[in-house]
Amino acid sequence: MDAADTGFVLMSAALVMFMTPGLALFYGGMVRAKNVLATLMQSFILLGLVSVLWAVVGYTLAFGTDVGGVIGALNHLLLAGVGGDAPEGWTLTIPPAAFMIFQCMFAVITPALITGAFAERMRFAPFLVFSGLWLVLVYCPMAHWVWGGGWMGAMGALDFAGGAVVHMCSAAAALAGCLVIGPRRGFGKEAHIPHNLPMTILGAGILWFGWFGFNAGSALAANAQAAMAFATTHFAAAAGALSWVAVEWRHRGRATTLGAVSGAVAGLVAITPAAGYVSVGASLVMGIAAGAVCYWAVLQKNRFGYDDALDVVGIHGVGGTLGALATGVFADFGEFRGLLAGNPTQLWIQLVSVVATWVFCFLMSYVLFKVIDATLGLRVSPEDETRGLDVNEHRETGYQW
Amino acid sequence: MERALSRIMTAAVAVLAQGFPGCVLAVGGFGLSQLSPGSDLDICLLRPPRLPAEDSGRWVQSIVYPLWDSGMQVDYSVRTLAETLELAAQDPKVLAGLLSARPIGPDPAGLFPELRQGVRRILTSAARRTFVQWIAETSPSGYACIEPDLKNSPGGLRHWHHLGWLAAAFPGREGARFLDLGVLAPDQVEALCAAAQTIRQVRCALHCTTQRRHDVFSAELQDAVAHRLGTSRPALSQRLEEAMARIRLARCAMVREVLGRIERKRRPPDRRCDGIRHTPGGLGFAEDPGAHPHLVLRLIETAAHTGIPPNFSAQGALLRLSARQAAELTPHLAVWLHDILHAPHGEAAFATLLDLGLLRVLFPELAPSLSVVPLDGWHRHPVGWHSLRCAMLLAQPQELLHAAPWLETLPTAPKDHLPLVWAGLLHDMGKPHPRHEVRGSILARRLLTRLGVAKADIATTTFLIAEHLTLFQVATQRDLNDPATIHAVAHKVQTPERLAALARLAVADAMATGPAAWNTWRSLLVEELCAKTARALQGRPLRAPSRDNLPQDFLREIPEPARERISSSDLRRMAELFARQRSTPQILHTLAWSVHDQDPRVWKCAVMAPDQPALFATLAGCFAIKGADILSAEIFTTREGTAMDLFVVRLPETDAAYFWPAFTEEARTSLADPHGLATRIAARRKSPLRRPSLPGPKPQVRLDAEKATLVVRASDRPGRLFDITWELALHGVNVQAAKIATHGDHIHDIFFLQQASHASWRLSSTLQPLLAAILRRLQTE
Amino acid sequence: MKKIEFIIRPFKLDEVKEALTAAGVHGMTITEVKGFGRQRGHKEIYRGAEYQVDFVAKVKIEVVCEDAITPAVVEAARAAAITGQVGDGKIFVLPVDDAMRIRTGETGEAAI
Repeated sequence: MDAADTGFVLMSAALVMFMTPGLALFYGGMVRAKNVLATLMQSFILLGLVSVLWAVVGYTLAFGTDVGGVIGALNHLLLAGVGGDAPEGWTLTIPPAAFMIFQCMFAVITPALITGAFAERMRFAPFLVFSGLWLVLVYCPMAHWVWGGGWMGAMGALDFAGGAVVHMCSAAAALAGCLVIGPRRGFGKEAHIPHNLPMTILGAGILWFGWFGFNAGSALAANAQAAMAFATTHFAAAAGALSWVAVEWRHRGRATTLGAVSGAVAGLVAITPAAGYVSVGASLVMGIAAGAVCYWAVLQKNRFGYDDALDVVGIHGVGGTLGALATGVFADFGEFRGLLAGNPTQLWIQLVSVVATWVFCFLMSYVLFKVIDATLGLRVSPEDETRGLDVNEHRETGYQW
Repeated sequence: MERALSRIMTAAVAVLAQGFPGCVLAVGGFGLSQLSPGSDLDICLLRPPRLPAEDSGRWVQSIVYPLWDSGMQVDYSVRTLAETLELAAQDPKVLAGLLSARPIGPDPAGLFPELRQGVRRILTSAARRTFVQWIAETSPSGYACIEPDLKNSPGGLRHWHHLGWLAAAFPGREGARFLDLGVLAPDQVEALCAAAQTIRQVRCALHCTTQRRHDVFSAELQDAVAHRLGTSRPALSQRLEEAMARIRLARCAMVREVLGRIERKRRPPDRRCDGIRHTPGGLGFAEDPGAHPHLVLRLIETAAHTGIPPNFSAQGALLRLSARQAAELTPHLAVWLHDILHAPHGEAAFATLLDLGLLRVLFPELAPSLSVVPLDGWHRHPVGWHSLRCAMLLAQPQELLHAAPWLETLPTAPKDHLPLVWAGLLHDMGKPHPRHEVRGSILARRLLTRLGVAKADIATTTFLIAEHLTLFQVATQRDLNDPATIHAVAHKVQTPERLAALARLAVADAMATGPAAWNTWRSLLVEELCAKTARALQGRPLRAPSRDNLPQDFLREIPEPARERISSSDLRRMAELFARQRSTPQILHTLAWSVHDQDPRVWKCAVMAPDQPALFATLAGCFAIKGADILSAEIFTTREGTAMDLFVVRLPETDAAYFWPAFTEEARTSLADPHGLATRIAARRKSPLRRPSLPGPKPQVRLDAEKATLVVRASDRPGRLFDITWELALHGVNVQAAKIATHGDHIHDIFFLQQASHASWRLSSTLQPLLAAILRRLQTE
Repeated sequence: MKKIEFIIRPFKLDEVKEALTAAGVHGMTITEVKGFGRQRGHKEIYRGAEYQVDFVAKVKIEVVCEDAITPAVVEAARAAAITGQVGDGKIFVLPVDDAMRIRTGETGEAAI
């Protein structure tokens, strides 16, 4: 046990926890005023729902004893044996409880990311059901594959802080979600315009801040890798913000605030799988690439016609994929070496993990959405959608004018 | 009346304010006890610092509300003494208000004396300079006009207040009253007070007449106000103008005086030069001008060259100049006047001369005309100012030539300005005689002979004065396409030099008159007339014939008059329109183009449509509906029966790119349904946005069978032209061309009727019903 | 009496207010409104996509005044509100049958 490592990971867990309300604000500002509470709620309530589920079954499914490289056994049901003392064979320098609570925050924010796709039209009850089932059926296996001793990790796929488990996985679910639930009323005909960009900017700032815990904390120790991860995280976000704004300025003639924060988030997403493995120089390149590529990706949704309301696919999906592949190119830390460090196989492994993640998460989520739609119904009635989710689902309004 | 009203209101406020622990101040006009019936009541409640806010709220309620409910306009403020003084030190407007403040009722806390001391302290501080600068800059400058704003125009009551404020800021005499200041001779003070009294009297009568606060002495109210004051309009206007001139002069000198004294340290001391003294307050006499009258001329000349106006004492001396002393100056006057008019600050110096009434003393022949205030809808300024402007434009012609560059293209520019400038100055001296141009030329001959001007120059000047109306009269009222018109003018002017001089005089006269007299359209007309007359004088054809490039089928179709009356460039456009009508026949085709680079509102529009009854009237109605004024029209019918009209119109203030499609649309609709148009015009007339027009002169319809013209004068209203042309169409009379002039609320339309129907008019009895019908239309409002 | 509704550009509010006061209007009601006429909204850019915003923010001023000064009031307000561009707004003039001041119960022109 190492006191510094333990303290560092606990602080990081708190930072990651703060990302969820940050995300709530980030999303909340981008919807219309009548849906602001529902959007905030969809993130915030997961702090409750997912945490409880995590304690009951989530942790053990993800990090229990490996069963065939696919899923964890139920040996930690209700967190049995997850306490302050290290069990036999525990290789980390922090107590299992610290690791568990750090991972819990990841589990909370991942389904919260999905909510951006079906924002402004999802009923609350089916949302809760979906989130619970998705955590158990999709997130926990994914986390197990990559970090819990499952096949992907064994294959050698590099995912430092969750590019696949968190971002690609949620983006694939988001894509499934918006395909099943359908576009918002008036999509493509009327403008769905952010109602409070200052809120979004504040949310993005909180995300950036929390991301230091998310990435640096993933070193699970207060060591050199954590410091590198901290630095690469910051520079990728900075480069992402600049590159998005530059592209947008050139394309549309204006630098927008939403563009700046979106670029920063894109940079953060892209660096996530690579944070602890790449140099600062590589992180700048990845940030710049993420800003430009995600800008382009977001524009594509209009071409395909699916209504990914808050661009989860465009930013988290494309950014996460870009980051995962770039990790295979730029990785150069200890035994983790990518293409440029003379290890071309790593890129191939990354590719396989990317495809597997997309396919698995998309199919599972799609089926889940379909089933819930058929049984409970995902979507509010057109009249309620026009009136706004806040009044309908929560009997509240965000603002008293 | 003002005093009585102020006394009543003071008593009322005193009663309402009984028991108020602070001090109620009357400020503004109320403070000066100069309340007009429509004035605002300005009150300032000085509250003791200890009085709680809700208590002062209650006092406001009990003092101000009853005044509001009695229909007064009350402006009030509630402040402590300290707040008031702090504000006054920063805001000159507040300071000015406090200078005229007076306490109403008891002042138990003794706030008012403290306030006075505070104000005096501010006036000795650096804030004084800001205050005086503010007074100097916030006020309008400019000429006397015939519709002055009694409060805000130069020489209005605002200027009179300035005198009081400036006196209070007078270095060394802070807080003094203007009347006690002693910079003015007692008789000057008395005259100034009388002048202010006159203005206030007129303002009171004006407020009583309009029943509200209305400070502009508008033309339509002048008769009623004069009647209320028991005098005639011309007499009242003259008195008012003289009163405002006095106050204008005094304020100008006072601003200089006070500013000069404040800045004295930075300025060179008095300089003397040839009997003229340069003082901080302006130019003064170093010796008594009574003994050396030529100093009067020198002073004004110095003012014209340096831009420094005479100071108070010099003004007093100039005002005392007697006719006998003036007579001594006669031999120098002609040269002196020209020198002033050509000097860099000549206009300002001349203005002073006019305001001082000195022109009247030096040139007694001008006296009757100088303060004539012509209320004809054209003039903006009284004759004195108008003549000065006109003479200045001619003496320093840059502005004139900028406005009308074509003047320089006339064959020979006048070599000698002398007679021209004289004519500019004297052209209206015959007013208010009904034929003032004739009377003016006689008077001018006398005056110029007395001044010893050369015979040849006198002849030219009197000719110019006698004919100064001719060019515009002919241009706007005659058919310029008729060679007889041009030859008549050529016969009158005889030589190209005279034509050029007359053109300059006419343009300068129009520019000095106002925008009604000088606008793009009138400028274009007079330019055309001058160009044609110049050609006639040189024996060249009036229009360069060039009819090439026009399609044969078009030339075959258009009637003979069109070829003569329409310029070849316009004909080319009409040919284009003709081709369009041929290829895609429509109920109407239009083509519009801008006529003048500098005025985007004057356009020409060619219209081509299968002829139908009352087509011209319908188009006139459509222009009216869209808010455009027709300036002239030429109407033709092709051999195959297509109407082909050419309009010159002034657009409303809309984008032309928007106007023309909308007009074409309107015209197409209206041609299909002319009765709908009549209904829409009638609705337009009922609009509350139309100002009620003055009861103008009685409508007149005059038929000149010889010249085949119909002249209509009437008051204007939307669709007036539609009314007239509709009647013409109903009676089967065809119009060949029309010139439409609107000035102010009146129209003066001339219709040139078609030759075809000409012969039958000799039986004017057949036309009596037409004239009666038009009159009937014009009389129904 | 006439009620005049001015729909103007928000940034012109101060100038129009001054002009109205100078023209003899003693009180007014203003509302922030949205709408469109020929101006037809404007474009906004969010994440690289342009959105047409149909309703443009305007200010509506409502004024009731005597018939006699109506033309002057309208002219003064127009002079103050004009920029010459599409979207300067509109002016509507409506008849008013009567008015009452609540505090005193006065009616007619005395109440405005």
